Amino acid sequence: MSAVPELWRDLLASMPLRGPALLLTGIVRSEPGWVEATARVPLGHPLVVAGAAPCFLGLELGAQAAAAMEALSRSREASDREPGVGYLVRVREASFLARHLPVDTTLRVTARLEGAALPLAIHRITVGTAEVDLVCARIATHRGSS
Amino acid sequence: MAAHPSDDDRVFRFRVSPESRCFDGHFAGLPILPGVGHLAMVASACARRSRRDLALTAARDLRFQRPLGPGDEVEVVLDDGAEPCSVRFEVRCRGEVASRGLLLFEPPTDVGRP
Repeated sequence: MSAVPELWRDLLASMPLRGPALLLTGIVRSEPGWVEATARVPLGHPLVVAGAAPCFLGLELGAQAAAAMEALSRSREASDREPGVGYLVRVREASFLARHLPVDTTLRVTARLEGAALPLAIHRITVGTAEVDLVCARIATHRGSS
Repeated sequence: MAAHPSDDDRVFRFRVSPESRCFDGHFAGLPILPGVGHLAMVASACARRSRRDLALTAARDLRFQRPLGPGDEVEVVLDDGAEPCSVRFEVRCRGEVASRGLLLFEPPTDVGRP
């Protein structure tokens, strides 16, 4: 699970999140409608309590992967479309297969586009370690009006 | 997020601290509490209501309808869901629903024991 530095460097400028809010750390692979990213929840994250990150934080990681996929898609299409924010507006269903996400550990995050009717998009996301999935969900994001 | 007591055991009040680090970079120039921040308040309310440590196993039909920002006063309203160990919630702010949905928790370990 190693990231591709040039993909990530190009992507950073168009991601709507900055600083500690951005939990993605790199892009491993990307193709139209699908992305695999790496992420890390630092010990100092505001939702980490007593050294443990709540499992539902995986939904944020998935939403960030979906935003990264959208940004990569814009770049691939050389689109002049304004970058969207990618607000998480709905979680249709989510399974939390572990109580906590490991902190200060490289996590694998995938997002697959299942459908879109702009400004909404539906994604199937997974979050896990290299060995095992920890969170699976179907989420909807809204591009916003940036 | 600071919690405040309420007379109704279904209702839990919180204030979204303007200093919360959840706003750092989310988003640049437009501070919005992430959806997982709503869930953190709901999880805290569920744990206080049940008076036990809860393990979240699933969520269904969560809707984030109204953004919460620095300093917002929030009510988390809980109701038992139709399924065992499930909780319906609404997060309300200024009379509007900010988010709602259904959370499912692991049954307590003593369920089914004589």
